[in-house]
Parts: sequence; C-alpha cells; structure tokens
Amino acid sequence: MDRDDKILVKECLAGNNSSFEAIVEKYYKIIYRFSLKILHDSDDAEEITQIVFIKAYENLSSYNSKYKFFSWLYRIAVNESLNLSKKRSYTEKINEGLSSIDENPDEIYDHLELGEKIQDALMELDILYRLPVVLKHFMDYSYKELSYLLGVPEKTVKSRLFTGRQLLKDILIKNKVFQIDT
Amino acid sequence: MIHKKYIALINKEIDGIISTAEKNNLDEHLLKNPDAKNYYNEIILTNNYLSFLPDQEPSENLKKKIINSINFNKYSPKIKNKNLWNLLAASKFKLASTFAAGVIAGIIVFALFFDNNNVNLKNVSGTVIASDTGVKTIREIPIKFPIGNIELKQLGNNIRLNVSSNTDQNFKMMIKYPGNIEFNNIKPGFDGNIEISKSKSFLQVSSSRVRQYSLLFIKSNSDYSEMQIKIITSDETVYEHNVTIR
Repeated sequence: MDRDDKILVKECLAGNNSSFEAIVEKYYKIIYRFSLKILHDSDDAEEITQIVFIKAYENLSSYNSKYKFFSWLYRIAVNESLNLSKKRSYTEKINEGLSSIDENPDEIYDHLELGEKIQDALMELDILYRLPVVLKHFMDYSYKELSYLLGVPEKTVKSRLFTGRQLLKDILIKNKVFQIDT
Repeated sequence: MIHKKYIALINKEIDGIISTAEKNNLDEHLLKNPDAKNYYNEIILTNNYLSFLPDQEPSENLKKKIINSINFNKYSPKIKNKNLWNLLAASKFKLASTFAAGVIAGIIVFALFFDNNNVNLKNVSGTVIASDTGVKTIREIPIKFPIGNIELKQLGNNIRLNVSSNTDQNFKMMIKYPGNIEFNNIKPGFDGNIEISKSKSFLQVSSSRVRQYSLLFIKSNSDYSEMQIKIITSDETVYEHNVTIR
C-alpha cells in the first residue's frame, strides 16, 4: 500500500468522505478495465466497479494494511466477477438451449479486429483460468500476490495460470486466430 | 507430449522469473524437441496476443454513479457533545430551533397579553427567538428566599414575575421600579385574598392563602433598569434585593 492510499484510507475512516472520493477517482478506471477484460460486457463491468467501491467503503475498517490497498480492491473485484460470472453462465446456458443460429466461425471472425478475437477467446476460457491469465499479464502480480487475490494457494495459482495459457492457445488455434507452420 | 518440467520453465520465462541455468536447460531441450519448440512458440505468441486486448474507457458518469451509490454516513463523526453550540452549528437545526422558539415565543406573548388563566407560564421557558427585528433573549432570573421563590422572566420589554410562597401567613411583596417600567397586570386576577396598592413607581401586593401569582410589567425602552424587590412576612423582611433589567 503506498503512502497516499494509506493516508486516504485513514482520513476516510476519520469521516472525511472526500478522501474516499479521491480513492474512487484514482482507481475506478483501472477496476473498470479489469472487469471489462474478465466479463467482456460494459454494463457488467460498470456494475462490478460500482459494487467494488461500495463494498470497499463498507468494509474499509476491516482492511488489512499489510496488503496493498489496490490489491485489496482487486480482490473484491475478482470475487464479484466470479459471482457475476456464475450468474451469467447460468443464463448463458439457458440461452444456448434456445439459440438455433449456426454460424460459420470463419465468417464470424473475418470482420472482427484482432483485439476482439482475443477477447472472445478469453471469454471461452473458464473464469477460474481467465482471472490469473489477465491479472498476471496486465498487472504483473507475483504468484504470491495472485494467491492473495484469488484466495488459493500459490501451487493452485501456478497450475491455473499455466493451464489457462495452454487452453487459451488452443482456443486461438481452434478459432484460427493464429496458426504456426511447423 | 511435453514434460511438466519444461511447461513450468516456459511459463517461468513468460513471467520473467527464469534463471540463466533454467533458460539454458530449456533452450537445449527445445532444440532437440520440435513438438516442445512448437508448443513454446504458440504459448509465447498467445501471451503476446493478450496485449492486443482493447482498453476501453468507462462511461463519463460512472464515477458520479459510484459516488452516489455509496452511503457516506458510516464513518461520519458522531456528535459526542450535544451542547447548544454544536446543535446551533447545524443549519437545519437552526431552522428547526427558530421555528420551535417562535412557537414558544408565541405562547408566551399570548399568555402575556391575553387574560387566559389556563396558560401557566411557570412551565414555559426558552432561550432565543427570532423576530422581525432580530433575536431577543428570554432572561430567566430565579430568586429564592426562605418561604418561597420568584421566577423573573423577561421577553423583550415584557417582564413577568411568577411568585410562589410556601406559607399561609400574610405575604407582602413590595417592588420599586423606575419610570420606564409600568405595572400592567396580575394573574390569576384580583380577588379577596389579594390586595394591591400602587403608584407610578411602586407596587405592593399583599396576599394570604394565595401561594402563586404572576405580576406583569412593561418596559417602555431598552435602557437598563433596576427593580427593587422586598418581601415581608409577619412584619419581618425575609428578602430584599435589586434586580437589573436589561
């Protein structure tokens, strides 16, 4: 936790609401972008971002300053993303049963930009693997920090991260996003 | 099939934590194993492709939505010392207190100017009231003496003396006052048990078996004035004091 965050949290706990507004100002875009990469839906990402800060404020007194404040926010974001993802996957399964559209993958991906193709591939990845892949790549957290964020042992972090990368590679190949000539 | 050991080394390289010895070991293995080399290239490319994920900005009002959705009362300092000043400091309370004081003042003025015996001013007290000309103070001066007490209340130019005695003996009260003060009325009114004699600057009230009554005076200006109060019972002076009226 950097000094600025430490002061802001302390001031907020002393009743200075503008200090929490400063925290929101500092981190809401980062949390939004992370949520969007994990959920690939702007409404869901905004919802998660809102929930993260509401919960952070409500539980600020229980925040343990031995962890980075930003990591604590991320941890809330991870948990909320998992919760929302569970709800969404239930809905998606119902929708899949109703859907009769049969599109050719080549046609789908022809008009998509590379970034969107990567995002779609990422969404095919189970969220348990998606989370460490995104957190490691974009935030460069250590395995130990990922262990705290994801609430699992380091061994599990490594296993999920390595498996996630491998699965993502397979999805990208399956979706013909890239093909390496051997 | 790639050995787990080399999968771990490839991931360590991606994560930038591979040692020189491990890197040499990995490179050596990749040279000898085309499948492993192919796997390595695909994983590295996959990881590089993640950088193509677009970074989108949230909607303009997201921050406002977040701030508005937080109930900011949780850590607000509680009012520990609820003294009058703290309460007055709150503007909402000022408005409420002005209204409440206005109501109290209304009751007092009503009681002062209308001969309604049902209104017991002894139980009415207050601090400040708002008026068209500003703020006026209701002063309360308690006067105690061995056989009773007098409660002097001042609301602007209206002065009221609530007199209580705890004796059945003859109770005589003499009040001297300057020219800017004029006796106006007595409550609960004249009856056979109360005798009043007065001049322009003097009032004498004699009572027997009447334990409570109120005297009303009106002050014609805001000059400081002095009232001299003397109480005599059984021909003995039990209380004598001067009270300054603002």
